[in-house]
Amino acid sequence: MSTSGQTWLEDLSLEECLRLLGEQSVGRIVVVPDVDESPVVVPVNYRLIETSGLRWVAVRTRPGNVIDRAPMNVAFEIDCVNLLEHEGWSVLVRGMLHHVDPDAADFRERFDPEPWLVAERDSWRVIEPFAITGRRLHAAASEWAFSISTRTAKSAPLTGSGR
Amino acid sequence: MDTKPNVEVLTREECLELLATRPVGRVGVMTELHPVIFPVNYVLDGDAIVFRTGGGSALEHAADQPVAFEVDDIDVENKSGWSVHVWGKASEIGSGNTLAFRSRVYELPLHPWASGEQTHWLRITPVAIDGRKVTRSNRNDEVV
Repeated sequence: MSTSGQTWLEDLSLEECLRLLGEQSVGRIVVVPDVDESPVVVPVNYRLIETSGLRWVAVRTRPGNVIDRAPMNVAFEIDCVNLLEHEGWSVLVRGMLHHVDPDAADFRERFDPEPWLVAERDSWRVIEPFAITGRRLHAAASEWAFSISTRTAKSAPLTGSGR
Repeated sequence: MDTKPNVEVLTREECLELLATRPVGRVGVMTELHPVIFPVNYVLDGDAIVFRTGGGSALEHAADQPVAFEVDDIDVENKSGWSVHVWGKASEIGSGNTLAFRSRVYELPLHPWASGEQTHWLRITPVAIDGRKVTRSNRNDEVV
């Protein structure tokens, strides 16, 4: 593709990841139903909960479905891509999936992730994160801006790319 | 607004059509102890998914593993959208493939947005593909 510049991969701070998690309402949960089985990725409505020093990602699912039956180890992802600029970011939450009683501590009133498909979403779950990481891909400088310098100044990568 | 969601199960053909419309999907894979999921640029090769990754990345775990691939387009404002799911085994393109096969795959219009050493080419051969679409019907629209 473009030879005019390097893209730039930025690691996001925890604060930035939490801010992005707080802004969005749809993410994707990935579970592995059983050893040697294929992972399953499902888009879900979620809600970031920050209370009493705890951070959880709350989701509601259908009793007996693949998320409800999943082992505790899960991952959750949100992202946003800019198709025009070829930029974007993603946040990955790795954590443990727990049952939660929606009728305890006003959970239902305070933290409902409000699924779009609400029918039968009666299994309330939270992901207790042990790692929250994120990356933002910054686009290369646009072709025209550096079209003169690419041939003459070979030594001008703006930043090192990730990896 | 008084709308209710309609969930439509997509056919394999519809799923493949939708897969061809997006440049970014997400690969879910099991690492030693934990699943992870990352966005990738991809391209379709027939009904297979081809993407590239750098050495040392978590997606290296995808080689020879069962993986899940997901693409969606979600309209948060209208609470609607679609998602397509592909399951299959990921294999790395390399010396195990014929030269003709490799040449063909390397010619695919796959352009990762991230620069850098995306030296590993992975291809997911689908075992299963499914998808669904959520649309909203405004009850007032029923009067045409």
